[in-house]
Amino acid sequence: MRFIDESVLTKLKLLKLKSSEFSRLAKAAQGAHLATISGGRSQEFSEYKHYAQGDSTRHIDWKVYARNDRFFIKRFLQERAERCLFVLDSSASMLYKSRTATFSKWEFAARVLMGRTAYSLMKRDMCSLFSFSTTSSAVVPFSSDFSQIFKFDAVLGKVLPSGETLPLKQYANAINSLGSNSVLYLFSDLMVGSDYLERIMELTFVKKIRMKVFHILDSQEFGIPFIGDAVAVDVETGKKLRVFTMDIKKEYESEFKKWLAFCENFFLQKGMPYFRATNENSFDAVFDGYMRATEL
Amino acid sequence: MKFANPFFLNFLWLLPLPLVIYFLFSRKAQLFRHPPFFILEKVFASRKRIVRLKKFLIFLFRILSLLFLVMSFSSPVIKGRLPFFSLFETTEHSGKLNVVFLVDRSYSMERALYGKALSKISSEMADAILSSLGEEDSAAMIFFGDKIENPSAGFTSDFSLLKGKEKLFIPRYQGTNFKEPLARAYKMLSGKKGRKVIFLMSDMAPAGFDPAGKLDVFSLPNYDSKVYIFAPDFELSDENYYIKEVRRSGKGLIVEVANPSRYKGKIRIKISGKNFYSEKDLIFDGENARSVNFPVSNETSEICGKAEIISDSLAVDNDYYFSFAGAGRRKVLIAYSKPEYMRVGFGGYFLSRFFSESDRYSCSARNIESLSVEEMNLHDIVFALGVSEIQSAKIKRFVSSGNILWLLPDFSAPRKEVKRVYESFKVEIKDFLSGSFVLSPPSGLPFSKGSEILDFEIDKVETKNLAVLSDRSATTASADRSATTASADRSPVSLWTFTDKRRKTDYPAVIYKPYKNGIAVFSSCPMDIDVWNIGVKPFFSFFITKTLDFLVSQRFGTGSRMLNLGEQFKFYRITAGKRIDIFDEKGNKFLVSSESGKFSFFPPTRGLYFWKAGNSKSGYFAVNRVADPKESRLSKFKRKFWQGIDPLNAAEEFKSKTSDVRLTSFFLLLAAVCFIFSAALADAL
Repeated sequence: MRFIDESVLTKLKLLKLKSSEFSRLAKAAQGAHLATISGGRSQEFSEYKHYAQGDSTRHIDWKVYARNDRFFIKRFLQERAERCLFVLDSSASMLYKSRTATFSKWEFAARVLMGRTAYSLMKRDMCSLFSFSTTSSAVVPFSSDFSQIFKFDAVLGKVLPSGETLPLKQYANAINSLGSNSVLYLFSDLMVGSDYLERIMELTFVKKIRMKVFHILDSQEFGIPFIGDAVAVDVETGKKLRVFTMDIKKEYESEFKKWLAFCENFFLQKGMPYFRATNENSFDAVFDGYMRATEL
Repeated sequence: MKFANPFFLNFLWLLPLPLVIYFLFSRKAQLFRHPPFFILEKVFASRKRIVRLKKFLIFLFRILSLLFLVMSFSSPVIKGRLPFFSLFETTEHSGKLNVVFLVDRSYSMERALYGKALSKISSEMADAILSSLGEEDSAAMIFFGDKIENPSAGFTSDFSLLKGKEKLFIPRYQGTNFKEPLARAYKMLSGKKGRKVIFLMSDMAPAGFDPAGKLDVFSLPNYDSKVYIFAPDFELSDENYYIKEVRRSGKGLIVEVANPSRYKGKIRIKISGKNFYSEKDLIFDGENARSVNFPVSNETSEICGKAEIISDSLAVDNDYYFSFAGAGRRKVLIAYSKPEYMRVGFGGYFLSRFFSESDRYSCSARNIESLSVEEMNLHDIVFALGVSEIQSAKIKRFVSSGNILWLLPDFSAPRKEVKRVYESFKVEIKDFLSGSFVLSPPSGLPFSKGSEILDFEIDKVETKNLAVLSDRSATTASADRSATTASADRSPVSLWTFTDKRRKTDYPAVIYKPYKNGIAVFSSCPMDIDVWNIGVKPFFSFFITKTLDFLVSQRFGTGSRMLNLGEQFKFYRITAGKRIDIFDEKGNKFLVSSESGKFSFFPPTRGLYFWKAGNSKSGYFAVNRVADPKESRLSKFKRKFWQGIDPLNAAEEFKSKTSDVRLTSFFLLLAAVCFIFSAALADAL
């Protein structure tokens, strides 16, 4: 496997999961189902809860009421899996890698995606992959089978990032089949303007889909790498711009920081977990941070 | 602009060098792929204009830097007109220099600076500047005040002709007119080659000809912007006081001091003369004029002397000479044609009794038949009673020589005779009336003011016979018509009136009329009034004394005791003497000869003069400048059209300002500044 190895599973163990949960994860890895707590209709009892206004009277335990003269509602374990759509931005900008970085942004994001997928599959969630840009797209349909991880790996191995970031049409098609219990895991460098980002999010809100964002950047992008007369090339469109970098260096850095702050605030204000990393960071630290920020 | 090293101007082709370098560099622009291109685009769009401007300025400063560097090596030489350039190295004169000195001789140049009069400082400055001129140079000197004194002055290179003319700088004019001399100087310089300079040796106080600041030098004929105009920097205040007038009032002298610039301050006034000396402080609080009163003994027969302001910046208008007739006894002569006029109940008797009781008049009575004009001339006032037509020629000669005549009619004589006598003085008797006529002063005359007259029973003074004097030419004096004006236009003035109460008609009682050099007063009745009437006496006394005081105060004959410079002192003498002697304060004697009985004299300077006509008459008269604020208002120009020269360092500064300036270091400095600017803009520092 190109994008995941045994260390990812080791890493999952290192995540401070409860022993019971981890044993369930281990079972799940062996093919067993993973149960989650919910207010569903499973026959396996979970816990009592004080009756509150709005709760259905069908679930009141009348025996407990007879004994204590108080209303309690019985709750059960429901066997139900989440639908996780892993969206990987495969635009040309994701292929960017500075000299000091080990992986390109795309490769780094793909690795984090694979780790997160493994975790979801362990939970018996249904996972799907959608890697796309304006010029390419690759899809792996939903499945909760653990073998899904191998399919992801195979598909990603064939993707060559190109084109522009997050085309609206493809994105709309990808999220069309998702229901309200779905989670969208977005892996992107978000190289779009604020207006465009808002339009993407609008599509997501309409579907009431939860979203978790992994924002990957290259450290070179925080500034302009050198001083002098230069021609900047847009890696996605090939557009060129002649600049004397000294004239705009400070303003660029300031504007870039503003953009980062905007992205962070934009997602967090909408209650969407947001995690930002650079491809120069240690993978373990990034994966650790991402799992904490998005799951635990 | 000239260049000392024009060879270096060949390097001007280097100016496009920054552009060439820029285009060479631009071909080596680095290509770099940048994912956040949209941010780069946004920043570039917002900074595009500033970046372009910055680039433009960088090129501009680099090119200017090169330009100034080339200029610096070329050593430009310019005329040192701007004081700023005096910071840089100066070369010697090159070429001919033509200087016109315009010497201001107005009185404001009498002000003192560094203990010297401005005129003296100007003279020394002119000498110093003339000494600094070269052999090729030429100079001319024009003296002016309110007009040009020597309009035909020309240029000369023999400067010894112009040096040491300190006396010619002494002020003598009352106004300053810059327009004419400046126009003249421009005309003189218009045909000249080389550098041209007008040096205004003046305090630049333009009062007296034109309101300050209105002189438009640029519109003068032959105006040339290349002509330098210099003037000394006299740091003087325009504060100045001057004595406007000294007048006599009651027992004192009133000195009126003008303050044209309305300063706030204290000045000291000194007054001195024969047997009196006094000093007083006068405090101004921004008033235009203030007066101070100096009491003088009433016993003095004649008051003359000088009033002075002590320690004022412009001394020329600080003193004022005065001469007033004294309040001593005046000689009155009653000339009657018939002896019965002097009997009880007749006017002559009444007048002689009145004057004999007065301490201000000494009186004598003579028959006019035996009286000569010379004898009459020994008296100040002659009352003529019942004069016949033949005798009137004698009294006319008396009044013509500058004396006061009071003519009373004789109602016992034929009416035609009386009429003819009056008409010979050009006063018409229209009618003779009988009835009851009450005397009253007309309102508006100086002596009719105040309440004192109301205390008398004026109704008691009445006459039964009256000659109706013509009021066709006679006018009633009004309050706004001063005695001086009345005497100037020589028209008759009705001083008193008789009122017919029944008919409610007024008739002139006394008519005052300047006649030739003297004054004639015509009564409408012979004053045959009962002197023992107690109620009448005080009022009658008031009538006589006030009328005489008024007549004496008029300017006529030798009564012109206060002259302005330029005015003629006149003296009328019909007697045997053919000359009078006039002495000034220093004892200089001026002999004045008669021309058909008239003597005239133009006083050469201000001061107090003493005159003596034989052994009979003598007196003083004072001569002042016209009390006019012209030169005393030391206003300043609002716009300075000249360059100032330090009076203490005149020659050196003059030389510096008329010399060429080599601007090597100046342009080097500019080049450095431009280079620093371009480097700062490119953030290369």
